[in-house]
Amino acid sequence: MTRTSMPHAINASTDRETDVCILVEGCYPYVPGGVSAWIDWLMRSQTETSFSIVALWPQPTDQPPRYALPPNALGLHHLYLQSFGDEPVKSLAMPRNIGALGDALGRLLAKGGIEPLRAAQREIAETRRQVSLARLFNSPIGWEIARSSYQKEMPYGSFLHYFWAWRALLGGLLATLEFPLPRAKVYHTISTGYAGVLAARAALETGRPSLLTEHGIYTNERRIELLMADWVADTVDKGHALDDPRFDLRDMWIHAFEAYARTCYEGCSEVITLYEDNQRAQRALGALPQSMQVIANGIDLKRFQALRPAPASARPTVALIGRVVPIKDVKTFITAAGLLRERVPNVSALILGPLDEEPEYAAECQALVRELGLEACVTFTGTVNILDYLSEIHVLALTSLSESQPLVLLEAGAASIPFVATNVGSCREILEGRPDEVPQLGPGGIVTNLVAPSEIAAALADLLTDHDKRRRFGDTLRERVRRYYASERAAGSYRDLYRRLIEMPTAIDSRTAA
Amino acid sequence: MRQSVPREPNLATVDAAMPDAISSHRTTAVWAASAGLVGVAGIAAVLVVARDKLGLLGLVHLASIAVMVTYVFWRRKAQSDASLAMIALFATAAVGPIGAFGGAALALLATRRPDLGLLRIWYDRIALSVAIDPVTRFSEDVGSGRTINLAADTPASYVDVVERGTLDERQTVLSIIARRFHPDYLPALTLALRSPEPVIRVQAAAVATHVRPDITRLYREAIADLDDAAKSAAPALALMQRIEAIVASGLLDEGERRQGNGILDRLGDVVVAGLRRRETAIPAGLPIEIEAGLVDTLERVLIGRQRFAELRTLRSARGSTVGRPHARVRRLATRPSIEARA
Repeated sequence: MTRTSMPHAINASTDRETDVCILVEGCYPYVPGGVSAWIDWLMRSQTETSFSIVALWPQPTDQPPRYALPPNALGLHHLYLQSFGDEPVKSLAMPRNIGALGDALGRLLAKGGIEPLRAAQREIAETRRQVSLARLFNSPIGWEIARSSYQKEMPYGSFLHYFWAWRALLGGLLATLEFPLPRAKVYHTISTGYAGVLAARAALETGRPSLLTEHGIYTNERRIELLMADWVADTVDKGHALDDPRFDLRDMWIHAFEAYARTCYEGCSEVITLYEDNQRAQRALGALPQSMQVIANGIDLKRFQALRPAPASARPTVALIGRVVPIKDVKTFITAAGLLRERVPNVSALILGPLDEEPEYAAECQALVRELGLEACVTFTGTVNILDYLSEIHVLALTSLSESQPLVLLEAGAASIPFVATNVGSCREILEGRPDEVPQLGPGGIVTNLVAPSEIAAALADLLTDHDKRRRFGDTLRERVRRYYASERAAGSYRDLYRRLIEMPTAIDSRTAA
Repeated sequence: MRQSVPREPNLATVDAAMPDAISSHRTTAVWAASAGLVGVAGIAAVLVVARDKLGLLGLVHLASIAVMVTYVFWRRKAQSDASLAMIALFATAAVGPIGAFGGAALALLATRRPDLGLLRIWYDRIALSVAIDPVTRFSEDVGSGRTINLAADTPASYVDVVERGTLDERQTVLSIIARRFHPDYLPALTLALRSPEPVIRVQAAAVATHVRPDITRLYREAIADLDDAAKSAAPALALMQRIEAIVASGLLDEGERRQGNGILDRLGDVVVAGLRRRETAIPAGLPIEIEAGLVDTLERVLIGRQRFAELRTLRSARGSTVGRPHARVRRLATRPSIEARA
């Protein structure tokens, strides 16, 4: 990650055409790590390609950017999802197509897909000739549309809650549909959601191809979040029933994100993800098999070339590399370390990662170490350069509750360190190989259940005490990472893909249809 | 990635719309009065000047109506409330200038500011910014159809759903576990954590993280009752049952799990000692499902301590009621306890 002092709002002209326009929601360039780091890597790895970026964000932010744009990124545009609408007006002439506009937007929000998007675009263009949507949104007509949608969808529910949810959803959608698209030969969205709708719109309006690279499954992440969120009011008491047909706010939010995903999947000619497991979820949400492919993330192998595995004679050492936050389930690692010590008394368990992100959780973890009497065994190092530690570690552990394709697994692999990881994201694929791996390289680590300290401790003990197995697993993992997870390979795949899409002729029909 | 789902905004009480309404009624009054004046002036002129009085009076009447029709049309085009204007129009059409002045008077009356205290109460009420008494709330929920559907089928077993349900059903079960957590859901959650479906595993893990503080709270509440419970068999067995479920969840921190197991041992001893003193471990008259849970816990205590004679007696008592739980309840009601026999 590159710290930067650039002004945080670079609004570039939409007239200057770039090769690729990246559409990204809620991360780059303001949030470090994860997807942002990947976007930074992608642009820097494609030096011959010019980029522009549309950052979708809820509202204008004071956050400083965490990444400096690379030299081939020619502009950063901002799309604010929650700022749509002009000053409220007391009266407004009714657009002639208001009924058709309401229906088209309703269909797009409820079902999604490229045809509803096309219809919505057509009605929006017709409305725009009479009145701006931003004016319409905050007018008595907007209010009437909200009332009529409420009457149709959930007249038994709380109108107050419905109104604000409707405004937030429709406001975000209209902001996305009204945003002036930067000119580009290819539009590349990094998630479904609003960015995905923007990509589908770009394909429809410009006739240029759009592609999607999904790290985690955005719709599922939103669904999980919405199903458990306390801030979404349950206006209908469904009790413990699983099949109550009454539509409520959670359903409205979830349907909208599913509809956005469907629109994105149908609008993008290429649907890419990092590992095969994700493709099942994408298919279930409407992605077409012929457009789907896997491009795994890669790492720079050269950084790890000089590292040698820890000698068998050294103190047995296991480690967890990651932030000390609940999603990493560090407590399970600590508990496993306690159980491991019963089998390997002089074991050292390192926790390599920052403690300041969720200090309360970090304090609980430290308290657990004291409670279990593991002070001599477990060490919190805080933020460190992992290259300084890899040569001391015999086995690495990952106890996360959720991951997509953890880079730490690949880095450990590059250093020939076998892994014990929970069955999340692509961990199994990295450690055991894809089913179509030829030749089958064998296991590079052990996959365990989630929140299973005994199982994790047993796997760690197995690899710590069996030196041959540990060496064999480490070598296998290194070979798999070298073959399938080198950054050059991922960069090459995107280079080929971009080249093919950039050279594609503009789809005239799509352009005129929009 | 950071999500863009907004939180619902706080609502401020809004009575800013009131001046608009007042201004609108004033405008209606002005137009209606104008229509009246047109009528009066026209009638006066006709009476003084014209010979064909009847025909001209008709024209004057139509002119008054035209003024009000223009106003009504304008208001409707502007999407504004035209109800008072319509009343004034009909009144003018019916009784001429008198009707128009009547309409103006009505509109002026409507400009009187309503009781803002009452209005504010109403706005606060619909904005949900004040507490609503539970009876009113319940009555409204029933009236609006928001309450639980009593005609619905009994919900399926969550364990069965997690094992065999559709993806949607499994996700819904997990969301219910997260939002309405109860220790009885722990077996379903534990199963979901080991689901072969990645989406379910991830959601179960998120639920586990979400409910862990609840589990810790339940555990701490349970051990707060320890001293009282450890005095005799029945409360000791009941507390054992609570703590067993929590410990079995696998979601306690290791230190608490170990402590919990220690407490279970101690409570088991209390139960066995109580049985020896012929104490009642399972009181009579409990709902069947609670009683069954306690019997299971008691069986584990007896097996764990190799008290097989008591176990046989217990099982024989249970066996005689297999398929006839009510018979057993009746029998229990007439006897001090199963354990007393043991």
